[in-house]
Amino acid sequence: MVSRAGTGVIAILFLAGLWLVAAPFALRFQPPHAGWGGATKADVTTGALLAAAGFGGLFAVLAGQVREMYSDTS
Amino acid sequence: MIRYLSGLLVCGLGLFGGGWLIVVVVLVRGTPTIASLASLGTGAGIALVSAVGVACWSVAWRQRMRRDGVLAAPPGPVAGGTHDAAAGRSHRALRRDMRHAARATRRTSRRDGAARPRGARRDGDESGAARRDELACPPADEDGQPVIPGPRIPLAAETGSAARCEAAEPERPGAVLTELRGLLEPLLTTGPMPALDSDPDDATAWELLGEEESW
Repeated sequence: MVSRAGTGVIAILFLAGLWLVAAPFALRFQPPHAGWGGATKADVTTGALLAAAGFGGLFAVLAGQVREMYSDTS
Repeated sequence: MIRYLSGLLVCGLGLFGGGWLIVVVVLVRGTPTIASLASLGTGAGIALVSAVGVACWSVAWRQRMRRDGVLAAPPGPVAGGTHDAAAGRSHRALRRDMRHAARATRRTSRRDGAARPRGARRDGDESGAARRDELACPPADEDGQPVIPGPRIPLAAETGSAARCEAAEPERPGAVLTELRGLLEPLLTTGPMPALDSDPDDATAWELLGEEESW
């Protein structure tokens, strides 16, 4: 139950990272063809890091769960 | 373990990222725009969610370790008291049981000593050896197992001592008493005790008897 909540938190972090990457363009404070400002750079960098970490973390959690299931059955 | 570690790692990174977004917005301190508000809100949300995630994964890991027996079970009402109390109690109970067993043995030995004539302890070579045999061979029950008051103490070479007890069985107590009286009468009339000879068996018997008297 608690690990499911933890997995959900990781998924939320992944989505938050995607949102941070998309937010400057979605909220239109970053014009499409102009150079990136400081806030945009910070948001996109942080969002990309979070999304990558969440993606990797989700797979790591899944892999660990599958491994434990195999070790329990053997 | 991998899943808990990766979960904690990702949530820690999220906490760091959320905090970083908050710090960037606070450090810039410009006029609040849509960009700064979005960053601040997202950073605060990420930090909050990440803190919850860290708590979840740490609780899940602790549950797993408790299930595996690495961590002790949480204190709670169990039969016979809490786990910590039970652990402390077992240590105290062990020491108390050992004290009681020693006291019971002492009492039994004293009672046996009072039942015998006082001088019967300081008899000659043969009676000393007999006493030593009695100490080594406790009274046996119907299965042939020695009966020791208090907790059962495993004796080394129990079978050997049991065999010796069986071998010593035919000797009648009446004959032993007569023999003892014959040995003791000259000693009581003359007064001082004869010096111990250098027989190692006799020395062991005296050691045992002296130990008993010091109780």
